Amino acid sequence: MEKLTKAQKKALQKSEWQKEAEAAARKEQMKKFGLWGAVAVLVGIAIFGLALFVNKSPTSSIDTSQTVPMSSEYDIVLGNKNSKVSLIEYSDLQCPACASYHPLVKQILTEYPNVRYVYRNFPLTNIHPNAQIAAQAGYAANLQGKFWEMADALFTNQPDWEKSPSPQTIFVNYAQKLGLNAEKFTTDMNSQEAKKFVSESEKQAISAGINSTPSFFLNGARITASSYEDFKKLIDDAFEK
Amino acid sequence: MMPLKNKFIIYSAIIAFLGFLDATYLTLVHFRNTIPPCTIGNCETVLTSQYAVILGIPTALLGSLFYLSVILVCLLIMTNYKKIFHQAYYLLAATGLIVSAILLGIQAFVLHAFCQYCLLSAATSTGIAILAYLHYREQKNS
Repeated sequence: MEKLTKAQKKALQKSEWQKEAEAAARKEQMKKFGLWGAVAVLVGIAIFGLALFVNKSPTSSIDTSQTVPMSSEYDIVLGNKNSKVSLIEYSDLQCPACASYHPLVKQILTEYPNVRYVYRNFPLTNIHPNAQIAAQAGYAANLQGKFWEMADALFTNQPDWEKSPSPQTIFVNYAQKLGLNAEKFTTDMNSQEAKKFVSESEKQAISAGINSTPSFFLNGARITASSYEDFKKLIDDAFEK
Repeated sequence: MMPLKNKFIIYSAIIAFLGFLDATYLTLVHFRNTIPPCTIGNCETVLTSQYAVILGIPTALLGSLFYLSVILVCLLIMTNYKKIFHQAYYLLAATGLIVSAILLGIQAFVLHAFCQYCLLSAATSTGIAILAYLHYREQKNS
């Protein structure tokens, strides 16, 4: 074996060090790539998983074991009264969730004029102090044929009257804007008939086993839906039957 | 392994990931036009309010992008220790804290309703802000 000179040895050592340093740098680089890759994959999986979850999570269902009467004398009926498809809603005009569902119901009534829509009052008076009088305002507007317009005004402007100590004034204002006879509206809203109408609806809702608002029923059977598409599917199915 | 000086950054990234899951869930729910399952506190009111969309962009989507940016900046700090990334991290953390405070204020004083998803997001962005502060203090002392 040849003997290396001192200079050669030094050069050899140096190149070895260099190699080691390069290897270490490469390893470090790989680690960085690995970290970025791992996080990218994790974020990708998260988005994909959530999308799958949101798409699969229970959206619409029909529960035929829970039913309510198809009609009652305390119903407010809109749409085609002779339709084979009835959508019944138990609602509270002061309930925020009902207000959130309101645009969906509105869209249903526009897209499906052939559906019989039944509005049933279920004012949760324990937690919503103005729910009773709001329901009476709905009753009074209905006598002048503008229940839906009034419900629309009440749901849309819910924050303006939900805490008001004198909601009647606000409701009369809405009635005027809707072109109702304000005097008749005021009398009707505060009448014994209005009070009875609302409290009887409430009693019937309780005896039907309703415990939350909004509760929807399609041809008497309980449905759950959380988007317009959900409702659409259920209604289309009901029409095809 | 990662140098220990980055521990607050690693925690931030983990918390930001949680916030990202939360906000992305709400974004997906928003674009699907569904009303999310709300167990407490009228979250429908919050999630369907006018504040759920800012200049045409869903607030939840902004949240998603915010948390994604935090994750990105944390990774940049971990793999490429530059001052500008630290500054971006502090800026993001402070922005998150301020925006969360505003959104919390809107829930409490304007809408009078809370949503659990939004409260979780407020918690995660506050967490990130605290970690950013701790990291800042550590950097200053070292």
